[in-house]
Amino acid sequence: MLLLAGQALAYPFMIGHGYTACAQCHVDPSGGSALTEYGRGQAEIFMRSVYRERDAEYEPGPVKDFALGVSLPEWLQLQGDVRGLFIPQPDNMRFILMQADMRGHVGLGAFRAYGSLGYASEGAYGARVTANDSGGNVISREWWLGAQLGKRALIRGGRMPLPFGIRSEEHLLYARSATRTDTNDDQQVGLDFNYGSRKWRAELMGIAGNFSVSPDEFRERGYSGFAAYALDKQLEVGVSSLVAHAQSDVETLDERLRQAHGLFGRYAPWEPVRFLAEANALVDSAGGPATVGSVGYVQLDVEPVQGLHFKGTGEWCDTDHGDDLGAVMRGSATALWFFAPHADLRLDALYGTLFCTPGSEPFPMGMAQVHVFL
Amino acid sequence: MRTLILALLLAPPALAALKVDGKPKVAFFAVGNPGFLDIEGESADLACADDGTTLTCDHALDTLDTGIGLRDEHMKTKFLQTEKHPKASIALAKASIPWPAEVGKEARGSVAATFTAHGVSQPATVNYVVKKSKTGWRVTAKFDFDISKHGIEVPSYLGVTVESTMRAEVSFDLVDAP
Repeated sequence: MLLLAGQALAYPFMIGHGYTACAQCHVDPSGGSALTEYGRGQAEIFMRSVYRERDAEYEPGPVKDFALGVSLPEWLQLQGDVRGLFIPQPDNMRFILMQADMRGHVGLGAFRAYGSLGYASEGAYGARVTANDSGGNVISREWWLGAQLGKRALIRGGRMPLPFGIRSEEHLLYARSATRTDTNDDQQVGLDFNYGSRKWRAELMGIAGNFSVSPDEFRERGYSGFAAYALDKQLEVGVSSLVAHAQSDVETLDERLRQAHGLFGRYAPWEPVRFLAEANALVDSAGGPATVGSVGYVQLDVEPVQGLHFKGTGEWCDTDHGDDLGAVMRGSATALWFFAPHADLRLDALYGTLFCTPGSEPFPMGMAQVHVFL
Repeated sequence: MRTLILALLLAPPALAALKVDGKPKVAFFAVGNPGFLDIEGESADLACADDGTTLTCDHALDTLDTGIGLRDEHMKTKFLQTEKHPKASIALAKASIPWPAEVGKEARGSVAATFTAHGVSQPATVNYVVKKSKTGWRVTAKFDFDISKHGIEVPSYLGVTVESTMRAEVSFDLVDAP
């Protein structure tokens, strides 16, 4: 469970509200970062539970703002996030401070700058600033400088999440961990180009490595990107591709060329019902001949009343179709409740393996998360 | 005499009165910045009439749906003021379109028109494709317009300001009116 620390906001189920793109609500155009003022407004309007009827002219008001009422200048976005994880164990209740981050974004004309600084009580090693191997660390998941190119394109340099597949707050998904594209601590330094239009969104990042890891031979070089097309306001399909090479991989310690190429889609046939699906081929050369595997998931998200989500997720992961170990599978049931302004509670019951480790025995898991943002 | 009969038989079908048949599609597109916010309002309301020289199509703005109730409310009450200005219309000279007579043939081009919204009329250039079908004509058309020139306040909400230039797209079937 050491890698469970920290997540970013990224809710792909917003396609149910007709939002195929992420750029209007997040300062990172592909999502999973601090909210814009518009995003804060939508969080109040669409995301949280409503306990009394709103009239048609309801406005979110100052409660949406930073720290529940601090109005910031247009050029500045600040956000604080705290997320705690509770894991019931036979003898005790384990607690992990997954996220205690402060994030800031400045946008002055075409110039943009973004960064986060926080603390994680365990894990998040890929994002750490300090080097405490036995406990908590100061971490910085993201930092970048960018320039807006016209109205639809953004070029950035710095540390960012790898653009690949469906960006989601669920960083434990096999599809995220096996491709190393989660928003917890898999960010890397690179140069990134992002484009968005009415139908298209696309991002391509040249990877220069994770500079929280040293020496340099452990850093990956390559690219990661996706292109997605909205066939409708409630239907988006996309392709992803990633190729990364390291002289010495952080897991295998061998020279490694890893690739992932796949498809993803999001579909909301009805506003409260959303399907997410992603399937990727994994091609891996680590100290031997290349292996071919696959990873993916299908998720159903139902929101019967505003703010309360029930999710069912089925996942598979097989790192090598040529071996005898087969695939690991995992099923999970989730309740996610945005119960108050800036606050949500999440309960997960899972059966499977925690990571993509074919040959491992599945086991039941349960966990609860509380998340508050300012 | 034979020549006269032949000429009458081959007279442009556009001279007949036209009306919308089936389910038309009307869409308005706007962009908000920063953040590439794309806003699309859709409707199936369109009524066309012609007086022999001018083809006029009216759209009831209250039927527009952007997919978000609050946004629709803002759009209709604050900006379009649909109670006072319920319709938008586009009018163009019927003869300016070469209505194809043979099934499957199409004509495309651009034509000068007058777009009226919020009670203000402005010139517009409409790009069209007209295709002859078995029953009439399949029409798809689009044009840009600037809401500030129609006296509509430029929407700005939660830090996102909508560009004043928007696009309208329509697709519908026209048939001869009885």
